[in-house]
Amino acid sequence: MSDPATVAPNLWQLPDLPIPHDPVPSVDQATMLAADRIATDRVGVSLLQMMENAGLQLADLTRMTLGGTVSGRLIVVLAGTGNNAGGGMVAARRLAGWGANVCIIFARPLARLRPGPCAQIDPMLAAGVRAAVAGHDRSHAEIAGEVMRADAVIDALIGYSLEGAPDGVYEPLIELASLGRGAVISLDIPSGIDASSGERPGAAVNADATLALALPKTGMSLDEGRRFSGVGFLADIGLPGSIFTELGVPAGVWFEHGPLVRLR
Amino acid sequence: MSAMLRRFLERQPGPAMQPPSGPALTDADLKAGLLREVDLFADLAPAELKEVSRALPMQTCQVGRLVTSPDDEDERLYIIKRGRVRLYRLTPDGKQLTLDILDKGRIVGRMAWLGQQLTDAYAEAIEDALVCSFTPQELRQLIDRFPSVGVNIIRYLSGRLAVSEREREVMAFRSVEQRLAARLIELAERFGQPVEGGTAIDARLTQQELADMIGTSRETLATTVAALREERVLEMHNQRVVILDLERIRGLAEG
Repeated sequence: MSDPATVAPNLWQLPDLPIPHDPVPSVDQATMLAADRIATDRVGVSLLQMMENAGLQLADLTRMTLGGTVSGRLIVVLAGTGNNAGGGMVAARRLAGWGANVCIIFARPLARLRPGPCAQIDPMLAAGVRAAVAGHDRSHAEIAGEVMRADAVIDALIGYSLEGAPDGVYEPLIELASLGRGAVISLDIPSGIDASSGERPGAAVNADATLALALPKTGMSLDEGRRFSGVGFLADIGLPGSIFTELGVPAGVWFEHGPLVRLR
Repeated sequence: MSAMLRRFLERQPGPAMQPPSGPALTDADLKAGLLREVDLFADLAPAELKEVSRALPMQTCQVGRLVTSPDDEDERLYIIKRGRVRLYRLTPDGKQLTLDILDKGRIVGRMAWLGQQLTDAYAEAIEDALVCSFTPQELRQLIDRFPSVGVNIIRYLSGRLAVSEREREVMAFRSVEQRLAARLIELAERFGQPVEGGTAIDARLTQQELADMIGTSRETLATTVAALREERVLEMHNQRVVILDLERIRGLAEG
């Protein structure tokens, strides 16, 4: 892979964002899945809208973590095949647009991507993101080199839909994610952590920060999930609160300070 | 295919074609247009398959060589008979980006009237591969001899069309309610009969079939129907839909 324009010193610090006044409830995997379904099927908030919002907030959290500007900094995004990867791809595109040197590593060939993330490929490449499929386009040694030099590593490998231990394609990337000196930011839940129980059936990303989407998943504060999530942040991805109320989640206002807040 | 590529490919007699088999294509496969051998040659008798094998040239492609590339001028499809092929595209900075790894029974190449238009994709043998290939002209001859090949192609293409229509509706930000309304208007135009209080559709559709038609789950459809029934917009029982408020349904469909 090409060398970044400048080898930046791996300096970073998580931002001190406001905490919502209302208590923030957590939801399990089934509730979040139901909320996503209601949003797309009935309320008319499309998957692409949510993905764009998630990716933009993820990019912004990364920007703030790197001191307010990402120009010339090396950011590595690790992506799986699902909607979590789609958020990572949006973040990659936005960060590249803000002047970062962004490299995205896919765990699987691109034909395996679901339709939502699939739609993100061309805009992302047009923004100048360098992309490769692990093991096919780049060797593990080359990928390790990028991760070790990165100022930030974004984990968009699995998301809230983990079932059982991550398979052999994901495992090496998961183990690699936390080996560098850059900030490790997981999208929604660290990959390898069960979103509902917080259990860790196999390898998991040891994140410095986790950006939960819409509401934190229960797994972030349970069992191993608590240790692996790092500092919790919460992104507003535009889901109307009524969707969660309908699913029996206590109502509240969580984004009075803006679309990106810190969790207690 | 360019002359240079042609040199890489050595013609040789190959093994007879096996009765094709394989798992059903997923929506994602159909959307990506991943045609397989089984899509073309399902339902052919063993003797017919032998005849097909004789009609199509078989070539070996050594590891590292391209089976097909965007530079190829003529339209040709390649069926992978043995070995593995990596499909990739080039990124704007000229690097390879892997799209898929294909093995036995998958098809690569370009043929407009089969919807195979991966014009920016390269296919590279990552194991010594054996491929057989055909041009549109050769495929037409096969269809003349074996009409079931033509029927298989229609089946495959209509599957792709259904998936892409559903995809477009979902991507176009239309809610289930709007998609249902649009489909009901369509059905009413074809099967609708005026009854007291509205328009009846006797299409003999189960809720599952209706849900499949608009690309949602039966549960979501049931919730949507219940809400519309509550508002006295429609009635639905015994696979029969009665539209009570046609204006409202029309408004939703156009919404």
